[in-house]
Amino acid sequence: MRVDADYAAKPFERWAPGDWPRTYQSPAYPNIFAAGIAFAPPHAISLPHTSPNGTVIAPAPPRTGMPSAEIGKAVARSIADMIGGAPRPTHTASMAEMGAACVASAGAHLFTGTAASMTVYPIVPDFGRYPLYGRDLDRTFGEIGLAGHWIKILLHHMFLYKARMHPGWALIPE
Amino acid sequence: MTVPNPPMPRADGPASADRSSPGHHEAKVTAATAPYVTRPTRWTRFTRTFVPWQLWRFARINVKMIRIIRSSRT
Repeated sequence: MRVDADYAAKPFERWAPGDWPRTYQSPAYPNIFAAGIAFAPPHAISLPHTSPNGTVIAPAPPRTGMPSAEIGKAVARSIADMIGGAPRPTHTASMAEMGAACVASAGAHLFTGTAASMTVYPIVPDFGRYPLYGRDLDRTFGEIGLAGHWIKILLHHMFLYKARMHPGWALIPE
Repeated sequence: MTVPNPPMPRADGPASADRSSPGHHEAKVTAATAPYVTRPTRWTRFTRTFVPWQLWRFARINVKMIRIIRSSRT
């Protein structure tokens, strides 16, 4: 669904962090919001390429997991405030201002499994703040190893604990 | 310290592929020709499963991810 993004067609050179939505409110229906994978991205996040056999490779932004949780929280708080009388959304969550962490693991055993751990900040490249690559390289990395596998196991148990709303669940990040 | 990678070759560089078919494009960058494509050494592969080192990396990666989470709070 189209939200408060800039959907004007423009070349890669003119893509900007400000193109990305902040409140996720529909401009046509102010009481409708689209969080996570429900909102339409204004464009890809990296320069589109073409594979040797002609397939277009247009990197879409990751909108599941951590980004969707942050967007969902902002939207929920805005809706709560609007129900309370606020005339417009009060919270924002731009993907150009947030990072993401991901762990892709394989194997179930504690010492024979492996994983690729990665973080990226910001999700949408910002060449104004980070001219060379568009991202903070201190907070953007990837690594293969057993440590990521352990992190995945830890996250598995933490998220189940959070989903069951056991004591202190709100302290566990998304 | 982070060392930036060399600039990537442009995807629209001169073609060296079989030009007999109009739509055919050969990959310009391969693991063998691109100097910035790293291959893990035997030592790197060893450290990926070496428990004492991975315990240290577990702590470091956790700290990195917590920093990302904190900087992304709405």
